[in-house]
Amino acid sequence: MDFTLTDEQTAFAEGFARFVDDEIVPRGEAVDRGKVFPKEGYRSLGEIGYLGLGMPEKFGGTAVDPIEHYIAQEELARGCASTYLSAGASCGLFGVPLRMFGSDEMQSEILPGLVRGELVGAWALTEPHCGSDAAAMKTRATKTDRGWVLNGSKMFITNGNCADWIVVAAKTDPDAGYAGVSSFLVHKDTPGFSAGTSLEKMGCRGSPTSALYFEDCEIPHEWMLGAEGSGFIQAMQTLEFGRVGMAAFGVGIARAALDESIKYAKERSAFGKPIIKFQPVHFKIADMRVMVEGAQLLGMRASWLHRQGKCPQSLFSAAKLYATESAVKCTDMAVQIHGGYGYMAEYRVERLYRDARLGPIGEGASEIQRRLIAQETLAEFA
Amino acid sequence: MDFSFTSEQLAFRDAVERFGREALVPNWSQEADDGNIFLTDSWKAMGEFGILGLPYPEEYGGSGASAVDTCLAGEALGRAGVDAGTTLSMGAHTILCGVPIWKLGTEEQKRKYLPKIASGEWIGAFCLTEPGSGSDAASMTTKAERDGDGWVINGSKTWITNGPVAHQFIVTAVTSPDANPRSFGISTFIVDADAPGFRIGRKLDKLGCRTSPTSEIFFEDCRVSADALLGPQDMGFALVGKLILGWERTCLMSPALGGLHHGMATACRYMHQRQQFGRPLAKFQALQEKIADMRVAYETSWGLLYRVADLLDRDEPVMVEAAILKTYLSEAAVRCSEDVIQIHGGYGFAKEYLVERYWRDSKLGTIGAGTSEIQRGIIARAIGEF
Repeated sequence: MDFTLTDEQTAFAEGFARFVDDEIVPRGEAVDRGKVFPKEGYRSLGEIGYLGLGMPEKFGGTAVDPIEHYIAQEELARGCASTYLSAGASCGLFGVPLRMFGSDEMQSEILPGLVRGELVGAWALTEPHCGSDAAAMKTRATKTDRGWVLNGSKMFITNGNCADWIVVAAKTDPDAGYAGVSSFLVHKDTPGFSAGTSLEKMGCRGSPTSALYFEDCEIPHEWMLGAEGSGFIQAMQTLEFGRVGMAAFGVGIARAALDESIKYAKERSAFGKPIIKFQPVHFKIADMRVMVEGAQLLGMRASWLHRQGKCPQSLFSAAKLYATESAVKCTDMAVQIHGGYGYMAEYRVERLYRDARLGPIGEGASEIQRRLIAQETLAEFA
Repeated sequence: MDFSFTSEQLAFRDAVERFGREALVPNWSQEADDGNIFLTDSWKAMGEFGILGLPYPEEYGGSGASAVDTCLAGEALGRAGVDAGTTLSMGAHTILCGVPIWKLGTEEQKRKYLPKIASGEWIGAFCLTEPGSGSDAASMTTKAERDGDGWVINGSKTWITNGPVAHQFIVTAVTSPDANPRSFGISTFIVDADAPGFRIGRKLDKLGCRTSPTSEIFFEDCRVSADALLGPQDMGFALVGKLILGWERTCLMSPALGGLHHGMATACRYMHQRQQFGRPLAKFQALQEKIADMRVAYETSWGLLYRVADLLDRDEPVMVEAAILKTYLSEAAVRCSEDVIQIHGGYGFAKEYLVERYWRDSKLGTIGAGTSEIQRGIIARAIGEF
């Protein structure tokens, strides 16, 4: 047992935090207001190597220690939730299944550009009528002589209208339930594919979200990702990464809320003293710190166990659930500490509050996480 | 980082859990709980099993266990369903009384006390709180004055765990009333129960942890010899605070982590067995969510607890980390034990299922060893004085 960071890990964390402070944080406000994909930040993430963390070295990636990977994610989320989300959809939700299940050909075509930040990826599972109940998807892939023809639509797709490549889950056998789902690599220029305009949303507004449409969209055989019928299992494995990533998302935002609150509470005076001197204010700061540290340990532990193939599903879920719900609570406290200024867009906590709210919804709603945790726990104590 | 236990550690945890289930749990009875009765058989069994001196070096009768392993043992007892009165008495004895002697004692003090603490022969207690000073411990009024070679102690202490049954007491008393800050004028003494002028007051009735006897203690011109002084004069309190609080807030909390686990397991088993509306409670999502929240609380507490224990083993500072752990775990334990009652419905409110005891026992966590409010103050001040 060892809860300490090595010197290398500490140095990595400090270096990456500096990068985030220099390159990501200053752009955060404009990214949110502009509601466009954070191109500059994304490019700089390619340059510093973030997008290639865990990717094969022959395609420009770097092998990474699971703790450092988690730290980098948390730091980026602390800097800008929109940039984090788009980068995560690209090199995580899209890049991970490509790395795990893609042919060498697919990987050599896409990964080098993705790692450099020149290509953007997206992952399409959710549909207008089905989110948590993914197996109820209706998008169909029909086999033809030349390949597969996709018909249907997808919803709430991060990077949907700015991605070069998309991993799309579709039913290849509508009667086979989970086993009837397969996944495909779709290029944005494929005839029959189109993306909707960016959806207006509460937070993470710099990360574009859109619907995707497939109308007789033809995909060659070789662009099926992995084996036919393995799409659902792929999705579940991708979501293991996704839940660690969302834990980092929550902790990063919660930390930003904590940092802003400490700064403001020391500066702002009321009744003749800095408001941090008031117990209701500094107890909130203590509560935020408790949540941040508890969630951070869950996220790091899930990341560490994941790499060893030993992470129980309930721990992935616990990390995602606790971190994202804590982020909502922490940002709420941060707005409260800021008073009227916290409600104004001028202060960063207003954005953090909106950004945090995605956490308990995206990549498996809190209700789905609780269900999963309960099922595993109830089975353990039968 | 390494978030895993070795196979030896897991085997140790399983052995302690089995010991708890077989040798300690059967000694508890509703009558003992009702009567605030100390479980002597459990105490003897713990001494024989070798669990009362875990962290001390072997030369003093201990096992040389790390803080992580000491917590692992505490968690195992909680998992086994050992009542929190038993583990509280153990904590006050092994950690609050024994650890200060181990860390601050002279060779003679260590040789005199530690082997008998480790074997359980001499039960220990720790006297800090007074009727007028709890969280604000440095405002204590019990004082010790020089008397020739020795000391004379006057004052009173309260909420003393193991008070009615202990052989020796770690006692904090003001030795330099004008010291500024006050905490640099408070010394620590080891006072034996047979010291002249030492008197054990009434046994106090309390909400939970009832098999752990609690009492007031009075010092009326209580004379102790010079070798009763533990650690440097005037600095005993500050050093005890620095060295012991980390141990106290982790090792004493470790049974609560196990207790949370035990409550969760008990609730799951009940949900499988109990049927309503034609199906087991386990099928109802509202109750499933309570189980999920317990699991999250367990996993979160797990990381916070073993982190502090690991830092203790590395001689790293743990003040803030221990405060974070204690705040989270103690409040989670209360919340979870309340949910365990809710899942059991009327049976949970009745005494026969014991789950009402979990809740009563858990409530001490947010109060003892520094209230949640004190912990939050410590956590907030970690950002710098304000």
